[in-house]
Amino acid sequence: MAREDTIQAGGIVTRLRPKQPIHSKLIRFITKKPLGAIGGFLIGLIVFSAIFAEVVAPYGPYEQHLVDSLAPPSSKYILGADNFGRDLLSRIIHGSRISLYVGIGSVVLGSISGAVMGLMAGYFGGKFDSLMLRAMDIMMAFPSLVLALAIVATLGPSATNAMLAIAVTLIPREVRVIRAAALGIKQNEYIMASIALGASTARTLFRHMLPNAMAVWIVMATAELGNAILVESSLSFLGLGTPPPTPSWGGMLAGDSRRYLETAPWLSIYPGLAITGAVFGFNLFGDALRDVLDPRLRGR
Amino acid sequence: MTQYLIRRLLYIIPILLGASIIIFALIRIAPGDIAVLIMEGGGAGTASQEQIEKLRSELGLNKPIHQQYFDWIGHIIRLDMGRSLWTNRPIIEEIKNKYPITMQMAVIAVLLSLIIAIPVGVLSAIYQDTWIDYVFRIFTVTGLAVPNFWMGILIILALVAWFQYTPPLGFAPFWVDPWKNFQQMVWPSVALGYRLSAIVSRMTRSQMLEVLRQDYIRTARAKGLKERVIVYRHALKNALLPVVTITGVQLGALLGGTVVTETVFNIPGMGRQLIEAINFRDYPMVEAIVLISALTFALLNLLVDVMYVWLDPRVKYT
Repeated sequence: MAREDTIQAGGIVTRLRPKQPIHSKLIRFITKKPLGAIGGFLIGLIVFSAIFAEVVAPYGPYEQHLVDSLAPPSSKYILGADNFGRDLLSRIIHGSRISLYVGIGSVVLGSISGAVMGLMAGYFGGKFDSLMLRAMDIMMAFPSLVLALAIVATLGPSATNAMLAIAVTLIPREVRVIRAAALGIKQNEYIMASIALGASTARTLFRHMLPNAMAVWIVMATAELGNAILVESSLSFLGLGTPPPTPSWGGMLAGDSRRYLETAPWLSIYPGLAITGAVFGFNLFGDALRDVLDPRLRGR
Repeated sequence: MTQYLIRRLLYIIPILLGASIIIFALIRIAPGDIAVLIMEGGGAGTASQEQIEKLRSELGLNKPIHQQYFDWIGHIIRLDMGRSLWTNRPIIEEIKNKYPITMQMAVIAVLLSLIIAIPVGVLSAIYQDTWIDYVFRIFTVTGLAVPNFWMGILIILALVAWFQYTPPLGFAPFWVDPWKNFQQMVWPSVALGYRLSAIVSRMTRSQMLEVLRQDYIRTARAKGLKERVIVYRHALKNALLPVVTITGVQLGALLGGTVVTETVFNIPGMGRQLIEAINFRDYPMVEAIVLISALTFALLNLLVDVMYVWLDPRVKYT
């Protein structure tokens, strides 16, 4: 089995490794993988802003100060104001909610559905597997953004529809990777043992195959997170994601900011910086996570 | 080789058929009656029942759904994609001129990216862990995180603010005015290709690092060959194979990226047309463009696969 921290002999349970306090684990992660720690810090910053937006942001996201329209960055408006006099920093802080909601939501949805389908395809094989492969090939015939656009066009522009659309585009790749992993796991004897002992299909799938695919799944999911945020921002930029006036980083780079590009460049710089920072953080963290989990991947 | 080609080409057909079913279903199964959505698009006011009925019969919505599908497919195969609901002109007329523009931008983007990325990757590998490597790695790592439309906006901002230069308005196709066309196409291609060049240079770098540690490279050095010959004649070719693969994988993202880049730089290509069609609820146009992009993507993938087989004689497709 995966992680055995204890052994049992003659009714006595002994710890194989001394129990490590959580802060020393954290310190080890930071020192061994400094880039991952930076990524984790960036992610933490964004999650914090998203949760505590009302407290952290100096102004409300819809609060207009028309007299200060297009104000440059100053002590009053740290990153400047837009043409409605709304504080850019506050809108960026609130915008993190949308990016996280759509980004994390789409990856969770897409990777879980894709993983379940991939596990089943790898496990059952046969006609079901062939059908699944063909279906995924068909879905992969579309460039992802085009497919997402078509889905949002059908359902209407909203944050939730953007999340669904992005989740759908993630599924084919996920199915392929998890299916490949499942094929490998299936070869192991404990799977055969599980079936021989009369475990139900569901039990074998979820109790035995799934935990061993976890490492692959986590690595894929973290890699997709940054990309999902990028796609969300593209959708919002094109007007097919979160509709205004709800602040979303992509949406803030569209329309008005472009009209005032020369006179108020901060409107076009800072939201983009936020997107880049978020994706950067997720990428760094994901890379570090992959390095940590990789030896275990190989070990399987 | 030709057998493989033919088999792959034939395989595309059922895939595209499946794709067409998905596109067809997506639009028709949209929540709400599509005729009502079109007539009342954007709250333009309610339409009378007879207007809606007229549009329904025009669009053939009264027929059973599989009948609609076969009608549609029959038309598509004859290159009749219907009329745009917005301009009422045949869709094929609208798209005919825009498709080459988008393709031109995509091709320039890929060429630019590869021309920059491969040398960057090679140099990064040769001078591993020096400042050259670090500078290049910063370049690549940001390339993975920067949204391409923001890159486009920053490029325009830099051009305007630092060089007081705006790309000329009024799009000029290549054969009308090559210099004007170049000025208009180069910047979107840079924005579009930046991410691809980051990915390719990372892959090139890691592949080169692996290849340079191989025994046959050691032999070449022991033979006394010049380092430059070793790198370019022996190491590079072997390192480039996964690069071809990864470029193929990224082509989809590139095609999708044309949509955003065209919007930022106001290029009259298929991508921008798609966005306009979506905003105007011009569903036949949306269907047509999505179908064409799937076809293009499938053909491009085929091209990449063929190139891969051609480049690596060890790969045998039986």
